[in-house]
Amino acid sequence: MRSIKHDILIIGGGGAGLRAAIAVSQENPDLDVAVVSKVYPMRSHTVAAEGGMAAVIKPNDSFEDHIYDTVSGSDWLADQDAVEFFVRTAPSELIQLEHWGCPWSRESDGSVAVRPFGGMQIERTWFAADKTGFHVLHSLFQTTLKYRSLQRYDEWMALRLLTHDGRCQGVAAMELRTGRIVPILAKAVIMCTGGGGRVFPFTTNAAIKTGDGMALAYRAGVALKDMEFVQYHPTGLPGTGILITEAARGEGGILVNNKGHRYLSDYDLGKPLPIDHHDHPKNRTMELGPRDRLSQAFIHEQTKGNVFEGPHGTYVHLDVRHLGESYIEKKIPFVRELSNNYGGVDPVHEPIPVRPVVHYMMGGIDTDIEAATTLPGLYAAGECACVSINGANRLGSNSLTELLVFGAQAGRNAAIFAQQHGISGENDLLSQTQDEINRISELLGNRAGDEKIADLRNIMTSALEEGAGIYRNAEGMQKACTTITELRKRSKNLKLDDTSLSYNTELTSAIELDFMLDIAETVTFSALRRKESRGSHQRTDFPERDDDEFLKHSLAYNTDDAPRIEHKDVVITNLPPAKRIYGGGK
Amino acid sequence: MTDPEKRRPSHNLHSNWWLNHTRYRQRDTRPRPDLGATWWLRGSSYFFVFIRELTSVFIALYLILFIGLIAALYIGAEAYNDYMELLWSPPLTVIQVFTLLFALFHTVTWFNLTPKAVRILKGESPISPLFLITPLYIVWLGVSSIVLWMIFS
Amino acid sequence: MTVDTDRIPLKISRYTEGQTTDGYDEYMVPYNEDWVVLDALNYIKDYVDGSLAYRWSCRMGVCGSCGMMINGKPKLTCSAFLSEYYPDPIVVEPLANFRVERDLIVDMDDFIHKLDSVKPWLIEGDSVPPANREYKQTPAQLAKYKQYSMCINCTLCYSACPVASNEPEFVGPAAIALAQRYNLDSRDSGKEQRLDVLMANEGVWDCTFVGECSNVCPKGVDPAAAIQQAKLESALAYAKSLIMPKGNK
Repeated sequence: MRSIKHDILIIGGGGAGLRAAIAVSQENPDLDVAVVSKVYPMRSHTVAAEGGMAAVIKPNDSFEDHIYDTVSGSDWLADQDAVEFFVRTAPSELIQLEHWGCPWSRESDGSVAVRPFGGMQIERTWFAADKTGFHVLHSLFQTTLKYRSLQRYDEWMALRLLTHDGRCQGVAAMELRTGRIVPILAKAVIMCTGGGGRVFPFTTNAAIKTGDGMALAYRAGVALKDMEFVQYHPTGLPGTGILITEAARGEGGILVNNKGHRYLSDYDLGKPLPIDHHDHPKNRTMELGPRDRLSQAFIHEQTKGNVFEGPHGTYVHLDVRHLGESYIEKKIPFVRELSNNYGGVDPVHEPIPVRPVVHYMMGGIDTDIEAATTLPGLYAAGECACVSINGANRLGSNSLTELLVFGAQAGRNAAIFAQQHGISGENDLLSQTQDEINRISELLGNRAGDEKIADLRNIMTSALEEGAGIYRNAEGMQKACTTITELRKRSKNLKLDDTSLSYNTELTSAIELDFMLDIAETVTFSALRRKESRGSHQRTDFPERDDDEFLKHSLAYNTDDAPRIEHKDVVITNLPPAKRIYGGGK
Repeated sequence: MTDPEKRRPSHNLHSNWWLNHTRYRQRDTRPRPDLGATWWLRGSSYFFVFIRELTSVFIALYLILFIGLIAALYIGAEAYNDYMELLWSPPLTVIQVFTLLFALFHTVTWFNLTPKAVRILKGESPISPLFLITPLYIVWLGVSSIVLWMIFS
Repeated sequence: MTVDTDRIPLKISRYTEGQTTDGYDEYMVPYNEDWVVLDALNYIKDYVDGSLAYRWSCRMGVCGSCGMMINGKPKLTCSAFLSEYYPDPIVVEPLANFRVERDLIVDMDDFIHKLDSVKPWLIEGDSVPPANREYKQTPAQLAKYKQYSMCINCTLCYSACPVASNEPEFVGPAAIALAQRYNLDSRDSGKEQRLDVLMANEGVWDCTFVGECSNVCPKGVDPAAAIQQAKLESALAYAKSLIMPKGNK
């Protein structure tokens, strides 16, 4: 077996991975960097982010305000030292991206424009119309093309982290084109594989978001932190789950129930201002409340029977008609395109049907402010990581910024680590790869199996929706835990129709299902152990936040049996835990 | 930061060279379905482009006739008269009528495409294509009128 | 959901390495007017034939993975609704003008090389603002290149282009549009470097202005326009080099 060697290996070619790659070269141009990605980098799901990217840039804004918004948005579960670093680093990262060519929308004087976003006191969300993620990803990807010290492995899938001597030193990866599995060794590894929203049936997440990197780190002994916190975005299209950006509300769109009532006013989110009022939309109020509270309000409206019924389930109306055609075309053209194509309505003339949809995982690989994990040589950034700056609920437009801030941080620190360490125990690393080759060959050659991938996947996603949705209780979560444990056993008995090696997408689906079961397991077991309600984790049996017991991160460790759940203190610096107040005042 | 362009190493990527090599070697065995020689029959938009390109054949043909005309003029009045008679013969008349039609078609299609090649913005939005197309027609009609006036007056 | 008897036939091109003959498989798929062709492919993969291989990801028309030939026309399968074809059969083939790797998956390497060749990144000039300040760019300056920055690299335009079909070395619509995207960006100073590629034999002059690239573009990028504008600029640059051979390059 021949191995491939690099100084730094990055797994995942989305926003965080590409930013990390450039950061390595900025830190030390002599280091050679590999980016392994299971899709061509510009297909990564960063591409689908719409609304924008938060950073303090305008004179009326301050770091303190952004920190307060983020910490209160997180329901005090974010680590405040990390939030402070994040907020202070954000502007220079966004300006750096501007210097790399990102086509930010502009004010008439040529400076970058900002828009309001949910849970933020002040407008600080930079945007490129409503295709911000698309422009960010393509700008980053195109910028990486000029760095010739960067070797890309496009359409290679990471299968297993290789460790020796207590250090992460590479990955066994499969080239999808040929099906061969090769050890790619490196002095430091950065995980940037994004989230795993696909464990839920109704999600904005792309097909590729199966939590691969989280599962790889989990299997290598790193804890997955705060996995019970899953963000429902309040405005997805029924049926497909396609995202209608929060920017639609940031620009003045309103949410209305089937009685024509702006129902958010009934849920401690402030008083509705008339749509033609000069102060509408008011920050941290009504439609600009945080995502967890808005999604929860929908469930209450559903219980009250105040929602519309359609062929794809219940929904409410997101109304942007009052913005007018030219404004919609200028600021949120993609909303119009998506509503037209997939929702069957033109938002210029009709309200858009929307319902809450799984969007983002606050939890992920346990990392610190240096983007380092507890496994030396392994770093992580982006949605797959949990620093945590998002705590129990992420604010819209903080995640794209997080990609850059912590992607760069991971790149810099991995570069330093790689300069101090070499690759050791190559034989051991190769034999681990051989184990992986054997495992995959067995899966591919299993003629006796009788389980279909799609069946298991459907059972898993329904179990999570029922047991770990917006409102949860012990009974439902216990049931989900049992189902997942059962699926684990059944997944050993898969039958594949496809026996070829080149682009065996059925094999990759089987591997992804295995990853997703890890994610599902950590979500349900962590959720069961958190006996309180905080942010996106709302329990009907424990409806209050319990700071005495649970102002703590959950850590899920992999074992042969159910995951072991431990807890770790949250870092509190300047902002002692307080009540989250929206709808006016702090 | 150093200029990354200046650090461009050769294509031979140290110990991993074999990787690119195997990928490259495998490439040519795979099928490459293309649009085929009959691509211009794959729909009306392709077909009109094909016709537009075909017009140049007739215009080239006409140029040969035109060069012949100049040559005849150079030889003398008798040759010129003979040549004019030839041009008025039915087959050549048909060719010239076709050429005129094709030339008109070519002109109109190209005039209509001009706004694609020249993009002028007024503020943030492009100006109406009519602003670019209309002057072309005006100049064309103007020049044609002058030529006709010279011939018939 | 419509009744079970309501189905639509899909005829899908199949290829596995080493195969020498053209192969198609036919599948009957439940007809659902909300479904796009991609949903039908996923249905086949999940419940009928797990060996069918194709690329997809975002299913909202922005990642650019799922381009295929549908009834001979290049389209994003996530945006092509079954209702546009029902009840007639739908023929799904890999994108034309690319080498086929497997079933509906084509070799993208060639396109990635072409993209790379036009230097699609911001090339800094003399006046770079300090690290804590953005470039000033007015909305009007943004509007000059914005359209060309909307390319999702789906390569439908290469499949629609008869020039790319006959001349595999042609740099092609998407790559040239991206070159123009940076050439027209007020922050960029790399136009002359990119002109070398655009003016070469396989560059803009290969284009015969068929315009089909713009017709099939799912994002309204209009690469045909970008190419014609690049031709104009390339001609002007050539004329300039004749008049001032040593120019101020």
